[in-house]
Amino acid sequence: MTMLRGVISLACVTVLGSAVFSARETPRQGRRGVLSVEADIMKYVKVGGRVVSLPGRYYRAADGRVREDFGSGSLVIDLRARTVTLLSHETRQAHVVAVPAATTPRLSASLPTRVGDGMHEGRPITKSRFVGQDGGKGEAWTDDELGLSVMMRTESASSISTKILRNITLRQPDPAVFAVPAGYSVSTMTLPDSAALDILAGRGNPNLLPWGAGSPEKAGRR
Amino acid sequence: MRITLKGLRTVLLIAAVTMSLGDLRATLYAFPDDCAEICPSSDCNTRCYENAMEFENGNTISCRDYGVYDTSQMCCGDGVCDGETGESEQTCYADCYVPGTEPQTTFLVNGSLNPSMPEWMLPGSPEFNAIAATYNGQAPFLHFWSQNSFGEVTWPGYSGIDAGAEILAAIVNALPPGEIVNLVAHSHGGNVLIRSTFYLDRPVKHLIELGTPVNWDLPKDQAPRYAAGHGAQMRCTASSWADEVQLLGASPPQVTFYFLYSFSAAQEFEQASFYLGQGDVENWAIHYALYLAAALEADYFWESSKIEWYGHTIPFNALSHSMMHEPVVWNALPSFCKVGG
Repeated sequence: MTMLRGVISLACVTVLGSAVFSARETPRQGRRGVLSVEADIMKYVKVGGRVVSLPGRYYRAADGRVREDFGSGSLVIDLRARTVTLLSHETRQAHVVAVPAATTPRLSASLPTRVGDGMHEGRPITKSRFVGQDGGKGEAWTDDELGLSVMMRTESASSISTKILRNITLRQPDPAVFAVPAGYSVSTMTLPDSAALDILAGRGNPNLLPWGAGSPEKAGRR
Repeated sequence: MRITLKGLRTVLLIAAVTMSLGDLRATLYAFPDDCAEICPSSDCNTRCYENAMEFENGNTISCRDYGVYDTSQMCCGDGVCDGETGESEQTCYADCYVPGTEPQTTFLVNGSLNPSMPEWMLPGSPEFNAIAATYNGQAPFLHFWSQNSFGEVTWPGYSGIDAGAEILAAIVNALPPGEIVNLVAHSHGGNVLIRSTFYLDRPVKHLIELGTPVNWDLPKDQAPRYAAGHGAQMRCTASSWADEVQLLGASPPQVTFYFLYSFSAAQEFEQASFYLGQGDVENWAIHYALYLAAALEADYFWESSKIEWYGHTIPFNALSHSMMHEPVVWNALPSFCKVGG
């Protein structure tokens, strides 16, 4: 547990390498950031040599509310209300999770490295590669004007995932898409604060526990 | 605590001496010592682990042979997994695991939140018939564990899962010696299966989980998840990448960190978007990088409830949780999961 203490208690950014998106770079003319967007999502996941595809839908409102649809579920994030809502359309349930201001994840990242430019659906993009805090790596295509990640490909030890946005439309989504649909039962939960999260992280992975409890021969397996 | 750029160097020093999720991940991806020799490529580490387990069962597949994604390079063709020919993964396994003619008993196990035997398990249902057809028409045995309410299948006690596992194991142990046993379950029933292996005094041939939440708290008594099901000749987990119930049935850390990193990703993207609108590329880049990292973490915890690290994970498209026990899934499982293995 000691090893994991502090895993998630701080937010930090690690700036490494020759960042292409550096302060010396002149912002491209016309950049304005993402306002309101709707788009189709196609996600491909490769696990164990098999590839599955997962269609979905992306919505983002000007006030920062975001919704992603995937199969039988939807994830709705409301930054102002500090809630994450998982909608289960099959069971007509809404799981509303409140994120207290005191709950902050540990997060580190290297700045992405630009690897090229291109076009995606008629819009200029910048291609960059990045490394996650777990050693996982990925490539992102960023819309030059909107700053929107229109393609993200990530690789981990167990899977390769590619998420692409298509048919991007700049418009304010119907506010109803961010609300819990009528007739859904609602359950609520509040995430613990950072101190409690430390404890949670310490007991999180059963693969760790026996090594901390008297099986040192396994601790060296990496 | 959020930091400013001025505090960045200080935080970096702190970060250098604290454990990161990367360390946790490295531990999660803990492989047998011999894997590094057999299969130095990190791309095949997951496969290597699976095969190392199979080595314990006397199988001869090598990590090098099977540890590549290119199926044209996979082994077999002559009953020996030695990389001589380029047959498919399924063919490879079918060759390596020759089905016997011994009598088999197959158990169907329900998921949680079922006050009575679910219809899909009942004789005559499409699922029942499909599974019976796989095993030479032999009707599966139905194991209904009744302590499956929400409070009995969740942290901290998981009491219902343990109770269901004990009963299942007692039944399986009472079968005649030499009888081959297959275990098939939907949803949390899969955790009953793997937990039952701690009580079994006989091996299991096929252990098949359909839409089971891969819960880090299970199998039992803080034992690592790979230790469960070790007696199974073949473990397969069918997971739909659109099945949110698998996540909700996972352990508190998995659920918490998924929601937390999802929120954090949206938050960092919002910050990045703000700075982009201000023409502040430096701050935009920092928050955009954090957004990517958070999105990666959220994805990881989503997948953590679907990928059975120490068995085969068979991914499915946009199927809902209840569809995971339907014949469309069963019939699509590779032969090595249910026949050849």
